[in-house]
Amino acid sequence: MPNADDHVHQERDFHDAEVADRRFSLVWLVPVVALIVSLAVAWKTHSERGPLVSIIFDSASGVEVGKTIIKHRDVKVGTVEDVGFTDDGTQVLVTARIDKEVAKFIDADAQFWVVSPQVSLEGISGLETVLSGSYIEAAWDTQIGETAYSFTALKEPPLTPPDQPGRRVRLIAEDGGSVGIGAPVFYKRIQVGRVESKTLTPDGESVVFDLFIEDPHHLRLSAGSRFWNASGIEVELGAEGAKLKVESLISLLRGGITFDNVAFGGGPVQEDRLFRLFETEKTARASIFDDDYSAQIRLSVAFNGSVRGLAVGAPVELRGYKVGEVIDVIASIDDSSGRPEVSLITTILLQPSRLGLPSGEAEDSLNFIKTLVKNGMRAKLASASIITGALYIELVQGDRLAEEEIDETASPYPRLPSVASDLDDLAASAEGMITRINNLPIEELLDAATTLMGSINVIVADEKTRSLPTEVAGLLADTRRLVSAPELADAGADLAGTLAGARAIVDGLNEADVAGSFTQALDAATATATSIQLAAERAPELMANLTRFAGNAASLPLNDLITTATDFVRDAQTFVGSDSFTALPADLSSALTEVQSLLAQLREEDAAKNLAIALASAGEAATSIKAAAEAAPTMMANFASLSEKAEALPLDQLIAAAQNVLEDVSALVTSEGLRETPDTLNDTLIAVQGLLTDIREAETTGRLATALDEVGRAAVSAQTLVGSVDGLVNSESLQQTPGTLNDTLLAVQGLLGDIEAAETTRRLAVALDEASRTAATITAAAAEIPDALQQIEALAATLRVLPLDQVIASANRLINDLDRIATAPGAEQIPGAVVAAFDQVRVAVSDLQARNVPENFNNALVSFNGASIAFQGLSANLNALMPQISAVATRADSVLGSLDVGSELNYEAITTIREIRDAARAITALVATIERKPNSLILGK
Amino acid sequence: MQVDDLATSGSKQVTARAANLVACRSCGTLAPMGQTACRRCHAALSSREPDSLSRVWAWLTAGVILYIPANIYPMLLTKTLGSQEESTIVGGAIELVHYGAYFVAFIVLFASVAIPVAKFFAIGLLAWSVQRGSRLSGHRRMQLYEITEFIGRWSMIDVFVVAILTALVQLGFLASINPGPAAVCFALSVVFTMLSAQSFDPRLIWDSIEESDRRAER
Repeated sequence: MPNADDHVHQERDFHDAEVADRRFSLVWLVPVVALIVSLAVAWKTHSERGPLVSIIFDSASGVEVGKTIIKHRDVKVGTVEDVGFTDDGTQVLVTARIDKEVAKFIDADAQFWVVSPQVSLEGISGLETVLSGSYIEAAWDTQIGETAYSFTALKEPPLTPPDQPGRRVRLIAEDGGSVGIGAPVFYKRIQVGRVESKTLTPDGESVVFDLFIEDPHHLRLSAGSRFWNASGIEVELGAEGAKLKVESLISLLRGGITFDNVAFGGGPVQEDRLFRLFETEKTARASIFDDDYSAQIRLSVAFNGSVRGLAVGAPVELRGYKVGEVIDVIASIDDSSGRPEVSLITTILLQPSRLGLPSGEAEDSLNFIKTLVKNGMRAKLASASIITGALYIELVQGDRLAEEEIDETASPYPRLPSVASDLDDLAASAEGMITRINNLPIEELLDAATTLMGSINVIVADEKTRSLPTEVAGLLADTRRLVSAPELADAGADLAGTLAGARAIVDGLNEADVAGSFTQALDAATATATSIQLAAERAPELMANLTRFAGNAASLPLNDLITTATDFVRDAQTFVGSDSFTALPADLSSALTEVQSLLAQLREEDAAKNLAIALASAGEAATSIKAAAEAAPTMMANFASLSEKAEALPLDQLIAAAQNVLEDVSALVTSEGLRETPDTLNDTLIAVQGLLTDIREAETTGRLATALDEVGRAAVSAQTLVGSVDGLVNSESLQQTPGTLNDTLLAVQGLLGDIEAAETTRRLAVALDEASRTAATITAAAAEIPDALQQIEALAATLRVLPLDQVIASANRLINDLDRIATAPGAEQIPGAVVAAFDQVRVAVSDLQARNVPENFNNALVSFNGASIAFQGLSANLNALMPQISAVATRADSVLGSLDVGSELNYEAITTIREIRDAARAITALVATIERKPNSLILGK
Repeated sequence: MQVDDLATSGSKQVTARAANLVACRSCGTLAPMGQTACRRCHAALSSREPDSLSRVWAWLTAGVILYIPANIYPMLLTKTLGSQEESTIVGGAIELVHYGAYFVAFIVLFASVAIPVAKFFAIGLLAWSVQRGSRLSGHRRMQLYEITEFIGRWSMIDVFVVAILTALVQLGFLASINPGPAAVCFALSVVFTMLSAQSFDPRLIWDSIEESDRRAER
């Protein structure tokens, strides 16, 4: 079968050709290319795959495998590849693939968190995830570090991305306040950052806030920056009135912090610098703590007495320089002595730089303070204001103190030794002063003075007293006239004439039948002599009395008395004549009435009942007090000066002495003798005058003397008499007398012979005896006369020296003034009213003290009490203060009224907050719904 | 002679090649062996397609290679309100099952997985049997080939769905569907598989039958 063979052959060829062709088929390029492309894609995909990181979440809410992506700045940088559990099964382990190009940034500082819709007070964030589902946000800083593969996700989105420029600072505060996480930080009312975290310190004593201040505002931070809580509403009642400060609405709802630079310089602050968070702007600005908070020293002080008035924030001063402040006052149980005692521990914060120390380690500063304490430094309570009763702590340098040291073992802070304050002493001395003033026998004094004045009035008003000087003057004039009378000078001549006359008479007698008539004359002379003797016998007594009186009068310390009385009267006049004193009774009376009514009102009302009413009353009271206080300063000044004088005077002694004097004077004045003195004196003087007149007129005496001279014994007496009357003796006529007298005597001798003859001798002897006695008496009386005259002269001189005119004038003025006082309305009630007022004040105060009134009001009363103690010092300030307090009280009243429950403001605020809450709730519901079913936005529910 | 041959062959199966004839695959005109172009339609004539099996294997390999990424990579990128979903062929079907659309899932699975895989096996089996022989009868294999050829075009249904969806669902942010890399791969895979099936010259089936017949004669 050639055909078949051929066919087969052909077929073979065909097959061979087919086989040969198959090796060169270009179609095979297709799978090769496909393979190469596939491998290339696979290799590329693999080579571009980034690292696989695992992130631990608390829950995988919203995270889906393959779907959830990882974004950074809204750019996808990875995908979740697996969601599982951690080994212990408590957390979710999400495995994610990170793009290779960003993998280098994924170091240990990278942060991951789930972004889901959030409705917060600052707004709504992550809204895009409502539709797209949540994603994982990654954040990292710009530094390239070693790649990390395991992370723990943040529970909350970080408030600040790690790569945001700015500065983080930390604040320390006593408590967390109302500042929340995310709360804004303001600088001049512009938000410059936010609060990132709020944690307790490990010791649980303070709260630390982490703040982030954004670039470029962080350049505003300096060592002089002060942070304060700007949360909510700040109501400040000050002297300038009420201030209402409201920060932004957000800060109202979730708090906020404001900072400002109160001091400049100091340079930029370091990262994580620690500042202090103050409660209010005021305290922040007043703060002196400009150094690092950590360098400050905390010490504790235990005070034995009351620390009432010692508030947190009160200054700690060293010789008036603020070096720290009080940060806490707590009660602590001291069990060391075996008997538990409650002691009050005050914690103070000291600023080392204020003590002159470089701000360094707190340890060094503490050592320095230890040295100070060893040298006697102690803490002492001191009064900052007597009105408010506020206290502060003073670091005093005590001497002679027991060696004490800082107790470093004390809890919670080293214990600074303290010394007792002198506050109690001050109060005690003030009280003592009051008591002393209270105890002054004002009433008795006034009574005695009134009596004295009455007595003086009686004396002075007596007509006789008034006429006394005139009488005395007349007496003196008479005396002077008598002494200087020419008659007396001519007495000698007269005497000579008399003697001549007598000789003539004797001659006449000789010539005439003298004997009978002489006998008659002698009888008459005898009778005269007898009467003269009688008179003369009284004269010594009179003289003695006069002398005694004069001596007494001269010995009376009238000068001193008058001077003292004048001074006293002048003082009294000054005191009484002052206008204020004149106005005193009315003012004092009205003020006391007001105080009385106020206190009565206060007593009647239940003070604790209504603060507003109390404040209103306080306002009214302040107004009243202001009115009173306007008059008070001058009054008080006078009163002060008066009381100063009064205090300077040894009042008790003075009063006693004055009383004695007055009693004496009174007794003297009221004594019958003195009263009759003018009469007696007058009479006496008249009598003396009459006597003198008689004497002057008694030429008979001269004659008698001549007659008696002739009688030998009488002559000596007469000579003595004549000798004692000085001018008389030397007169020529008198010298010529003897001759005449001789002649006369011769005549008399003749006469005597006649008389002897005429049996008249016996009768003459009797007469002469009588005359002799009379002469002796007259001699005695005459001997007394010079003394008496001298005494009278001295008396007259004394009386002339006496400033009776002034006395009378002063007494007159005094009486007028006293009259004015006496006639002034209310004067009679003064002492009683003053005493009653003081009693009432004391009763009211004790009453109020006994009552358990609300503390504020009590404080006010305490202050009021203290104010009354220091009323003198207060009076100057009171005028200015009172209107302000009144205004403040009025404003406070209105503010409080506006803040009252149910007020407009309150209602509005509550309504607003309620609406905000409703809105937030609605938005939350909406977000929840949308998150659950995103397409519900389109499809509706 | 040829006619004789045909006639004498009687019931015995004779291939055209054995009869020294070449049939035009376009219009069916018979031409004597050796003629290179059809006289009627001018199509190229060959008794057996040159490099047929080689090309089959080449296309098949390319198809299989591309079928792998077609299943690994996502077929559809569905963005709905900002969230993007990627679904592979099998993943999409499983998702459909989760939604309870069993029928659709079945269709997807059938058209996108079962048919292509079956085609790979069918073509591979045919080519293998031509080269190595098979116990399957020529008719069965012919049926298999015809089915493969017929069904092959339906494998593109997934690609069509993707194309239609992509064109239809372009609603911007709300929803948009884009073809994933798997779509291209899958389409190429289907195309290559079809090319592979077309490259297969079914007449080779009969050659092996003829050969076996011949061996049987001997």
